[in-house]
Amino acid sequence: MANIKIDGKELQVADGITILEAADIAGIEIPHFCYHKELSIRGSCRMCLVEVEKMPKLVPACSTTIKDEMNIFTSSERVIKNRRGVLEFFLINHPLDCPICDQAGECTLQDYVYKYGSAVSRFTEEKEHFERRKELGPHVLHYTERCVLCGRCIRFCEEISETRELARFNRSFRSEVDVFPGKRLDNKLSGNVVDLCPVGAMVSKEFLFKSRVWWLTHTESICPLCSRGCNIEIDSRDNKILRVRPRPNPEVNIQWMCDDGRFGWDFVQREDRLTSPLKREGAEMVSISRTQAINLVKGRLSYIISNFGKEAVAAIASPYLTNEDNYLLRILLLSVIGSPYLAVCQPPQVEERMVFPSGFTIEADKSPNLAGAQDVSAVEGRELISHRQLLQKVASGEVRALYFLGGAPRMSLPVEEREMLRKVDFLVVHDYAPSELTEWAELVLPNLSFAEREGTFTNFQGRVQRLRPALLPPGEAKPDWEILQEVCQAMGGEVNYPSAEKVFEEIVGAVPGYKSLSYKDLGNQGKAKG
Amino acid sequence: MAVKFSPQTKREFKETLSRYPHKEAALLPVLLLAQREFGVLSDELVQYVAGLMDLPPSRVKSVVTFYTLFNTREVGRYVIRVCHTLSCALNGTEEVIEHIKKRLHIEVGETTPDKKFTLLECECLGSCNTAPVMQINDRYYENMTLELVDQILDSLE
Amino acid sequence: MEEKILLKYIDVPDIENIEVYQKHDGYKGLAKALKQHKPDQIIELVKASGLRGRGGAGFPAGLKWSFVPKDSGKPVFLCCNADEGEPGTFKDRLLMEKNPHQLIEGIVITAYAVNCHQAYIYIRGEFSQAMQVLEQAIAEAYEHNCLGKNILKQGFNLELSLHSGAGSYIAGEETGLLESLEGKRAEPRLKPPFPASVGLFKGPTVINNVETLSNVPHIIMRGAEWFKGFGTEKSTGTKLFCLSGHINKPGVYELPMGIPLKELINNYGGGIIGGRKLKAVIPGGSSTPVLTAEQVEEVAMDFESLQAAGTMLGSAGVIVMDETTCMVDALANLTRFYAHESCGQCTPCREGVSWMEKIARRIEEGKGLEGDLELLLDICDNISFKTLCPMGDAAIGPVVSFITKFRSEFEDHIRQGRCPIEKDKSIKVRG
Repeated sequence: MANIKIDGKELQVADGITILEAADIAGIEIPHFCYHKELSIRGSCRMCLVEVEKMPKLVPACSTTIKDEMNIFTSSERVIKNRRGVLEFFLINHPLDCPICDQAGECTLQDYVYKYGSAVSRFTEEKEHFERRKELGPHVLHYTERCVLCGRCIRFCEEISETRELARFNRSFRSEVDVFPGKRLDNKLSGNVVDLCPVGAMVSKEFLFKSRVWWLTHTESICPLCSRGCNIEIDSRDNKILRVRPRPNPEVNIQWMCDDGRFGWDFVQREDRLTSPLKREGAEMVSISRTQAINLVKGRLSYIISNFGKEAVAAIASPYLTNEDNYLLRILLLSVIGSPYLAVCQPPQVEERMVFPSGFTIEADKSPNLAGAQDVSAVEGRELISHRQLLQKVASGEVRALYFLGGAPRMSLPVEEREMLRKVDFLVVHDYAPSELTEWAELVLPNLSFAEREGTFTNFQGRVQRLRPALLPPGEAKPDWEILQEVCQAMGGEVNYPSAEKVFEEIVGAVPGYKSLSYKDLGNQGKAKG
Repeated sequence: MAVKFSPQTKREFKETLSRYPHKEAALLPVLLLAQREFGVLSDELVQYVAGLMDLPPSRVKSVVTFYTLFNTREVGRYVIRVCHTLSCALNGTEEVIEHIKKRLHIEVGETTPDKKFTLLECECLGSCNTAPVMQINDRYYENMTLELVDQILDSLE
Repeated sequence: MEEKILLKYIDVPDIENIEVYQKHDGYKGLAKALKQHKPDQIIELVKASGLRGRGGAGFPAGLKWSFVPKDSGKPVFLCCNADEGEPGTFKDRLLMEKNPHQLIEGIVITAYAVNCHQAYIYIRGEFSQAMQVLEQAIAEAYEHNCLGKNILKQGFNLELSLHSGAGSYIAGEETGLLESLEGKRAEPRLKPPFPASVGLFKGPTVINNVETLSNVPHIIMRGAEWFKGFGTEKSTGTKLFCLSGHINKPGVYELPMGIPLKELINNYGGGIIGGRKLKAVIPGGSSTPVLTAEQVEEVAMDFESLQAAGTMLGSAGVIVMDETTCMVDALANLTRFYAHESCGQCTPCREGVSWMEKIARRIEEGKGLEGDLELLLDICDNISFKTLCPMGDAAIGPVVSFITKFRSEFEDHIRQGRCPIEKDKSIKVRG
């Protein structure tokens, strides 16, 4: 431990940390560009220079280790002058195109100039000009003249994705970041350089010119496109998602997310989102009311139960839906109907797990909640029946009614499974848009995408994490657990949860491993199962 | 036609690698070798060298564009680099440059249409006592006068 | 006249040939070092001699070697800095082309002193003549058991390789050199850690200039006291002074440290061409603050005297400017040099130096504005001691000193909107 003083504040800190880290502990901001917690130290922007007693030169806070008895000044006259000087240097060749730059409003350069810079420019020469905009890859554009050459993007490609597409080219004031011609920035983590870029040099094609950031509403949620469950922030406006970015979570995704997740949310805004319950009449699907739909379910299930027994009814839980949704399905099938045939749909294996040398992974399981669905569908810790076995029972005619929860962004059922579904007397399905499930269903109940719901996912590490709704549901679409609750009630069950949180409280009591969790506890970083 | 080293260059390449405990360290000498054989470090050649060196092409090109002796654009058979830093400037290098420009009818940075000469300006060549100094390909030409410049240019095939 | 150390045998025909070199005390210093001294003793001997770095920084050589940890477990490297690029400097080229074995001998002794078994000479890519001579000399040294395994049968091994640069002044900065030697852009590193602990390939590394290393065999042969007999108390030995610019006899002059600058210019350099008036002298390579003609009369060429005069000995690249020199033009020239050579890593150097060049050029073209000089000086203050490596401070050396000492000339340019000096750009024929 070392005893140091920073801006007069006395502090005891661990040996070997840097002045920047110590200042962070003390709650003091030291502005910086090139430094990033997850990347190696460069010390090249010179923005973080601070004054240390007995040291004649200003020192970079990001790379200078604290020593016992060090006396640090982060806002002395010399430090303030240096910050103003560095910012002035950044601006002399900068295009000053904030009015058309996406980064405005969340731009480090803007923020720092406002706080630490000069209001007047002294530069009257011709600026250095570069190629205005370069397409570096399928998702990333580079506005060369805005670049402050902090090198974070380059270090990301060297140290995190280890794909090394980006490099510095040329020298001195003609330095620029670029890719080798023909070798685009197309690794699966490429979107992260946009987050890392402190200015509007690296921008995402998808978000280009879409909105000013101060009009965006930010919602904390979880990515639904694989079982890693990267923590995300959904940025929306006028009830439309405009972009999705990662939230930091050291246990799950550090600060990153993959491009599949980052740019894969457009399924939420499909034009063919289902907005009302649909009943099959011949070759057509016809809109019916909620009441009619629930009555239909009650009628058909009751008929099948009385003629063929409870065990003729089965249900398939969805790894694409929340724990709350799947739990209500369990209640319906096991408690209200009394059938043991509850399986969890196995997501198809379409890709290998992708492991980056730095430790980040993109999981092969492309569903966000297989672990959770299995947890809440198990009895005494064991699954009742496998997905495969259940479908065989359907094929053999033992099972005549099937309640199938869907909700996959991209469903892909194997052909034999699709064939088996045709055999069912009564197939009722929850989904958000036409899919392979809705193709065969007699009744389709519209549900919500991840972006519209409250609930929890349990990721591949066994971490339970909360979703929060960013958008209003389209039309009459409802959360699955609410629909299922109505079905339970129609079938005579006494089920009455006023909210998803209350369902979760029930899960906490009933499912091993979820003990002592609560929505409050989960916060925005989630918590591991017990 | 895929570019690759001649057997002679390949041999020198292997010998160069043996001087360093890490392959990467040989990059500058290897690039100089490549340039000696091919004249210009085109993207294709850079990619080839990157493959030989187990380095990403972006990294190799990053190094190539940093150093002034690497040619990234087509150059003439003779690359004339005239020093224009202080000591040479104090000794009339501007006149040498103007003279060459007039004689070859090109501006600084350009190559003659017959691809014989490229004229470049460079910084201190470390021969200030014999200013003005110019370098043509590998050789230094010192104590330049306008007459000497003419003689030298005439003598080059 | 005075006894020479480094250039003693420079005029002996074929001295670059090892057999001729050996006939002129060649490799006797090495033999003595290996046979009679332990590595630590060599370090003490060189410390005692007061030998200071001849590349520009003037750091005591023996002290630098003593920083190398003995127990790091990692291989130690020695790099000879032959990336001579400081404008006005051309002494290392002479040493390498004319007496390469002197350098090689110095390298082997130094390697022995710091327990290094792999050394490199990092030579600037433009010096192809020197490279050829050195390659040949290295091959000869290997053949004659002065390099390689079991040198002079004393059990010491050393591999020495030549490494060519490719055109970059900043590769002459010690950590820029290391980066370049590792096959990367010559972008200097943060210090600490210092090369003595973390250097080439992360091992402890010593980096010394050609001239520094060339002194070592002589110090071993003749002793520390003998070496201290030359020069001044704190700047011992001789120095290779490089004279260039508006001087009658430009060239390399080996003279004891402490020689008065006016003597160097007048008695050895033959005075100003055409008998013109002296105006300004840069004493130690372009990074060192300029001296006015008055100051030239008073100052001596050693580390302390020049420091007291507000400048530095640096590499001892003496650039002489006479009354036909436009100081504004000279400044625009030098700022262009630094702007071109900046590696581009850190903000103040990358942006600030090129900004200064633009302003200086604009003033030279007669488009200067009121306030330009204050602006230049403030930019210098924003660069000074704030850059990642000393290049920033090198770049502002000429800017601050030219404006301070020749302010009226700058003001005239601004007020008159043109250069008031008749520049002489004619070419001089050297005899």
